[in-house]
Amino acid sequence: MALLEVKNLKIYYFTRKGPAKAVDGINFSIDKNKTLGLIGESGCGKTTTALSLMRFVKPPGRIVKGKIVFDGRNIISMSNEEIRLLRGKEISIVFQGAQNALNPVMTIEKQIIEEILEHESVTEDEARKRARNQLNLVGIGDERGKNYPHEFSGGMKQRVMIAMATVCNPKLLILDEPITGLDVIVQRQILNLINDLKAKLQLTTVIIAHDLSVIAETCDKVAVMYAGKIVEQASAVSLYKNPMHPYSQALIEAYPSIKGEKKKLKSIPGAPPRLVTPPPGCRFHPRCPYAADICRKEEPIMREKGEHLVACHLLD
Amino acid sequence: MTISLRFLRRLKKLREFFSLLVRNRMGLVGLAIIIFFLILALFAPFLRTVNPTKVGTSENILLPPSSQFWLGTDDLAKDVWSQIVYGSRISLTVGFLAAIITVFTGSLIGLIAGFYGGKIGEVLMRIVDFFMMLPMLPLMIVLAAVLGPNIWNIIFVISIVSWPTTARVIRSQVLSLKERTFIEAARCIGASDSLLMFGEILPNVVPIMFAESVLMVTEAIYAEAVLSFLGLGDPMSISWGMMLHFAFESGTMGKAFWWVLPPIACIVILIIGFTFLGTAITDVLEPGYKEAHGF
Amino acid sequence: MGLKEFVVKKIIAAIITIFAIVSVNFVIFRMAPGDPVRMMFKDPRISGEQMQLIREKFGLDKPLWGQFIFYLKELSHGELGLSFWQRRPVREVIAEKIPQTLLLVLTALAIAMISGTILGAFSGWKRGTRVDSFILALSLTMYSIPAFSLGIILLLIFAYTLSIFPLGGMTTPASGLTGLGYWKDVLWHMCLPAFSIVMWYIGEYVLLTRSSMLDTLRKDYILTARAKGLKESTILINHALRNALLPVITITGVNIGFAVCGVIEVETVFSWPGIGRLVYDAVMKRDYPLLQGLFLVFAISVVLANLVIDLIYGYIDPRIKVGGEKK
Repeated sequence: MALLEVKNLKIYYFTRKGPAKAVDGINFSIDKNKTLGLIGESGCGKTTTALSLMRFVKPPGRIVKGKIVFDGRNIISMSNEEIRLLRGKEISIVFQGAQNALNPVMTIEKQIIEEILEHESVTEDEARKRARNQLNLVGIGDERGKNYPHEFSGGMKQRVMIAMATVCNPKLLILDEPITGLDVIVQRQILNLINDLKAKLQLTTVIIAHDLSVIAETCDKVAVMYAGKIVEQASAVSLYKNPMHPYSQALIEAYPSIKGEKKKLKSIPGAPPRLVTPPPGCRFHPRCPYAADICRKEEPIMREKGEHLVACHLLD
Repeated sequence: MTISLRFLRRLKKLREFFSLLVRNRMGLVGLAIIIFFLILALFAPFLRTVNPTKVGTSENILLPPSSQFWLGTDDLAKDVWSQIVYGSRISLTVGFLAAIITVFTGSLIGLIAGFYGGKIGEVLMRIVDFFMMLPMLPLMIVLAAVLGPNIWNIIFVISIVSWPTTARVIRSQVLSLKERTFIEAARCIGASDSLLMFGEILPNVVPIMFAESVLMVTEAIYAEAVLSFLGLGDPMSISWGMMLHFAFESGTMGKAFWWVLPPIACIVILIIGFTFLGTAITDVLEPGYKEAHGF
Repeated sequence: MGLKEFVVKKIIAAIITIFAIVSVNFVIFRMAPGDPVRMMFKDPRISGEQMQLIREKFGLDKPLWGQFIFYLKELSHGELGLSFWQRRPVREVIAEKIPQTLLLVLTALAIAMISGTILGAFSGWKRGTRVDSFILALSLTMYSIPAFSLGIILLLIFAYTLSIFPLGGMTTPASGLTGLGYWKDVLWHMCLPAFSIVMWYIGEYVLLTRSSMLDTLRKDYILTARAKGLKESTILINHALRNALLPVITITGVNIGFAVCGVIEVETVFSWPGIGRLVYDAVMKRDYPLLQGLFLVFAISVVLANLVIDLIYGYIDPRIKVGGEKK
């Protein structure tokens, strides 16, 4: 049963040079207790999508069309107050780069307590107990609750963010590039933590990344985004075994493997298009090694191909 | 060949800068004000004025504005309009000169402190910090009182008190420039210290120096006005501040509005003019201005 | 660096600065023209011998180094020399006038700082609205008007023309009021000068707080606070204000220097009998010892005020109070 359904979502940024079509008509859904990964290059629209799930699109950006149906309700048509009540309680987000994401003049314990008290009617003592529990849950000792953010390392701050985001048992948790910028060992620890919490708290999750390994380790379903559009959707395993869209193929090829013989690093030539004037037809055609005439003229439609959903003319 | 290319590029940047500047409304207003007073200063003798220090006859004392005396007369029957017009010369001269000296000294110190860093930088910055700690007006008053009422002393005193702020600003700009990779690149190809300092860093610091000078002019005009008002001005040159000093001392302030309001208006408007221009310059220099305004 | 080290460092810095100020003061006044003894005792009947005695008493017969040591010794006893004009110790002259200045300044600054901060924070929070633009324009204008000009304009309008307020001074002469009546009179006299200082000083605080607020609102932790679903008022107070006010506190220290300028100007215009007005009188009367003493008093007050503010800031900002990263 789908907890979240996104239908034909379009988000444009209105600049002086015209609207930049950051997200141009995407559709996806997530079932309860499942994890969806959104993967793509920088600027493909994945962070904008993630932010829009909590209605954090800032001017000059605007949700132009579409529906975001969460638990049966359309987020886009809610009032400001209604969405405020959802945030932190039913939908939570952990942003990328926790360096400055915590208030430097409040202890981390207080920052968690603040959230609990806002959403639930408990006493301050109970809230404190829960906050401490949560800190233990994410691997930070509860005695460190009295410390300030600047007394923690990057990885630990990320754990605090995760603790804060999960303390009210949200139905949906969004993680935007959760391990980008952390060192490798810490990355492993955080990934383990995420998987751990998913099981313990029965979370439904959306994970945004540009790193394939993250997606591989944590996601059930994956959607590949390019230039504001979703080009392929499949289960994680299926996508790795059999990527159908040329872009997905290139992405997976580009990821170096430590096993096997040494190969030359493969990258995708060219650069992502400017979203004010995207290329006509299929947006990937300028960089696609198999581009045909029809690719330059008509936009491909998302179709079912086996267990995948792909938008590519070459597969029709 | 390379040198002339760089020069052309810089010229183009300069032209871009000015075209952006004139499109900024605040800057335009500021510029208009400044030009107005410049005209007053330059064309003073042609603007229906007499010698502003010329004392008149006793029947002409404290006359309200009339067709003969456009802004009336003061308590020694001196023509107020002439004093205003010639006063603009003082304000602009002191303003520009003090600003130039301040920015020049401050930039030199800031450049050296920022570029060389280390012990020299530390020592210089301590001195700067110390100067900044001293209260400006009392220091200026004390120095002016000791050195004597003379326009060059005034300019000197203002500069001495103001250069630390500029030094600070320039130094932090230099520090952030030092971090940028083009400096590392230049060093890699063996550029010498002075080549780096004057060839690479200085040109990038010039825009800020320009913005600072405009700001410094407002400080200088203000300082001259206050010092003159307190009686430390040059009695030979009637500035707007001195006019207010005499008006205040004479005890006739309540009756002779025409003597008091014009100098105040001029001081305030001129300061506002330079403030607007300075704000416009800093706006234009700010990264992202071009994109935000669709250039 | 923990709190204790911070405090010690700041106090030592303050002491060094004060010493430097004292030295600078000495140097400047040795540049003063004229023979101080002759200035003070203008009676030509005083003999050469008597002049010499007087010189010895003031240590003016010693070489420069000796004079400096003498100066420091006198200073340590609180001696600031003799006023030419009033023929009595400078410290007496100054001490009489300090309370009046404190009354005026502390009141005006408190009002200016508090209302300026509130207005600035509000303006920053509501950025881009008409209220914000209005407050911004007003503050920029106020900022450009020198304090004494503002004072004169207010004096002309409200005292000379409309006669709502007195023309100057602190009390109505020969009124014989006491107790509550006396204080009401003082308050009435204090209105215009205080208002001048407030109007002049407030612009700085509005602009400062506003820009600090704008900076703070751009920070990531504000977005985090929104993501937690907190109420707007909670975000404003706990997250935005608490951080935005920190730089404002720091700048207050630097600004004390400005406040001094305003005080001198306003007291002069309104003939308020404080040490600001004393500066004007000293300049008019060419009373160098008094001027020297006043400079010292102003400069040291600024250093001490800065020290107090630095210490307060150190206590409030947890990054300093608690120190750095612990694993």
